[in-house]
Amino acid sequence: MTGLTVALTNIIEQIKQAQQPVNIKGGGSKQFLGNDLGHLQPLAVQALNGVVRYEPTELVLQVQAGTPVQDVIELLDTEGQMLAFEPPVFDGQATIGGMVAAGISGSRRPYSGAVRDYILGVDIVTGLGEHLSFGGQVIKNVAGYDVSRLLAGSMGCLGVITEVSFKVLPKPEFEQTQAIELDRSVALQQMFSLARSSTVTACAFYNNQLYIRFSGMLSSVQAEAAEFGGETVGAGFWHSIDNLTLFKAAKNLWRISVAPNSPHFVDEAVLIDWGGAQRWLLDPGFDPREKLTQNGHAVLVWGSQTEDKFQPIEGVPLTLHKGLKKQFDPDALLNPNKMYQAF
Amino acid sequence: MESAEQFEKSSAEPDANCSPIEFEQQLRLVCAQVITDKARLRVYESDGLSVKRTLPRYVALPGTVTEVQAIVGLCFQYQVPLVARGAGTGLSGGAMPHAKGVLLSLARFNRILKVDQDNLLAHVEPGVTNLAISDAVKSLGLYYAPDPSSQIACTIGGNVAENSGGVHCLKYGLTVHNVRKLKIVSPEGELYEVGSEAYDSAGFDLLALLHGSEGMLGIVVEVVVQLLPQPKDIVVVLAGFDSVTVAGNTVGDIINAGLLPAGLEMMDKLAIGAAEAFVHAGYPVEAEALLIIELDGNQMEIDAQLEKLRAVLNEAGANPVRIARDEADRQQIWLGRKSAFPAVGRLAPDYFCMDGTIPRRELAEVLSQIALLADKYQLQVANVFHAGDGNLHPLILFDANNLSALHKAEQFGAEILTLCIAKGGTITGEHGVGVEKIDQMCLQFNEAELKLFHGIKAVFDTRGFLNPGKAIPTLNRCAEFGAMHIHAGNDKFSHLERF
Repeated sequence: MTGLTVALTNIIEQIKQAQQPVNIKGGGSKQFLGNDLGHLQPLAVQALNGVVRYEPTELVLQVQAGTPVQDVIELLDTEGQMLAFEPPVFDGQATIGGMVAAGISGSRRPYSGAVRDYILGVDIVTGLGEHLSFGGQVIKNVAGYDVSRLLAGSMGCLGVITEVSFKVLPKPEFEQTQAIELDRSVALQQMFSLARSSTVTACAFYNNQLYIRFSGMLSSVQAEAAEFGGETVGAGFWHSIDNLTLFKAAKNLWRISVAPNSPHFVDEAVLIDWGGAQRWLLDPGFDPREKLTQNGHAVLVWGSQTEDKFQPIEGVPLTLHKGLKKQFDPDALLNPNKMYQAF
Repeated sequence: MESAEQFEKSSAEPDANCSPIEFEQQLRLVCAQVITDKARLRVYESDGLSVKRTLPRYVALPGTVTEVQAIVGLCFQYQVPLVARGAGTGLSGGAMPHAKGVLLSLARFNRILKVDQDNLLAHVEPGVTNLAISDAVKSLGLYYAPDPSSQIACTIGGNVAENSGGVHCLKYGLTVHNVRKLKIVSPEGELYEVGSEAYDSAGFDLLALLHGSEGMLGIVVEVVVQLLPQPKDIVVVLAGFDSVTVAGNTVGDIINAGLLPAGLEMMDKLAIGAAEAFVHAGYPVEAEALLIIELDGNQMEIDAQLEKLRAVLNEAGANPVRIARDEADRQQIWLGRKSAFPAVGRLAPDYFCMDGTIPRRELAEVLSQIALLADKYQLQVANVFHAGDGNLHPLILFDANNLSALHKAEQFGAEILTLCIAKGGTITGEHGVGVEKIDQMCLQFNEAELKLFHGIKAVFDTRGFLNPGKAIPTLNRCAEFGAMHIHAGNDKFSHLERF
């Protein structure tokens, strides 16, 4: 345990003594997500910065939670490797801990997997001030319950993440994005068939254009891109989706996650990506959560009009959520009510 | 240690609060197929870890989800232990029955409910075999990626419980990466869903938590798996090496070249010889180690990757190098690897298959230490290695009829697992903890971590009757085992009490 982690457990011990809940803060790039905790004292973890171990030949990276995602991406790049889930970097502010806690994956998600899929191990400090270690630095590990993956997307409600180990992947030799003008329904059908190509790694419909990214060996990518046709465009397009800059004009930004062929919001969505499975609504003027059936969920990414910005959960899963929160953070000191008012 | 008792309760074996006869009557009321006669119970006395056997008191074979709910609810009500079982192919005793409990077989849930081509999903019942899913969608050009070696028999429900892997994990992941949604019966008998047909869900990732939970948290009654398009082209390369270390390093060189093979396997000399004698796969029996490398993709992808791979293998001095592009040739190479366990099994009456995972940089060191241990225990060991992901399967040969040999083999295995932890690895990569590796859990996790595991168990299973005594050791057990937490040989928890 590093000196800083010891310090962190001491701080949590004090927080516990004082029963003073905190708002966990890395780079502060995603404070807009979930319920506003601005009234709570911030717990800064950005000082936990640095790579603990990077073994390119093992495809494993172990890094402290306060390390900027951008720094990690640049480090991996020097070895021709990448974070395959394409996380947002938010102007370089996003940190690894926040990336895991928020569980946001980028354009490559349907083809390569999500943040949680690449997590090998996570160290946390719980609300009891205990520093615990789950998973490890190996790709296969089924000892004990999979607490590491549980932490992905837990929004800091279960513990302060101090260190994470990831599986990383070799970068493709070459990538190329093509855009072609298409009717919306035709474009969606195209997305389904493109999901069967081994070289497609991103797929979106925006402004009457279908955007496809091909990745792989140079010769193969060029051949597939040529066969698809359309115009070649820059990689910045995907970056602007993943980092949400494309949507910055929206006062209320809704992200809808559904099955690729779901009928929900096909016409209303300003942008449809993830091969059909992710849809973005900009100031729709209604709450899309009410219109969704159980297969899918909506999140108010930013916007002010709603308490509890995530899709409601109920029944057995809600009981389990409350129970898990109690186990990890019995006094509700860490990001209380960040996801839901219920816990 | 005063806190130990309170959570010990959650994992303690519950006491039934009605007589066996009374319970049997109730059970027969809610489930048409119940077995209680000894001869027929015998079939269920163990899973793939056959040295650990117990006769269950009852076997229930429900045919509907409603029946499962009623059986689970009954066990909840009367606090009767319940152990779920798929095909019983597990290798760690996870489905070993409880002597006073119900063994819940999900074998009758063997239907593929729906194949959804747009979304590339299959909705299946938990008793469907792993291979049956790929077979059912083959004509659509699709398949289900995780392929544990027992895939012809093992069920998808068991795969979820164990988070099973296979030889293609490096590129395509484990079960947890390929399942989108589960229907679960809670310990109270309530049906609920986790996950979704979308790529993610609201709230905590309960889907991930349930994977590999070894039947301790709930009963899986439906699984929605993600299907993948079959690769257009596949090539399998067999490369021989005159040193295990060079073979291990070559794996790193392959990754360094930017290649991500679909499969990347290694076998040592004893395993090569046994496989060759068994199935005549054309393996180089004089080699100290061999690598099997599978590349997949479209034809141009493969051509370009193969060129890079050839260069790496040449540089490493691999000899021979055999490249198989047509199906029959590829199958022949894989046949040797896939027959490795039964082939090694022919060398002795019994073998233990270990399942530790290590960082690959430690491979040479770990193999040489295993060789030393083999000398110490006077037992033979063959090594089969999922080299791409560091998952090592040493096969310890012994004769179970000789009690002292069995004991020696168990100790040998325990030492290998301890070694894996000390090298920064884990005691189980894909077979699960079950009853087999429960003591070694005390080495891998500290008191606070084990306590949290018990806490998680109690959140799901308030009465502690689902698969009691498996996967997570009680602190008392760890105290008796006499060792705790030597994670990666470091001392980062040195401030914690040892006992």
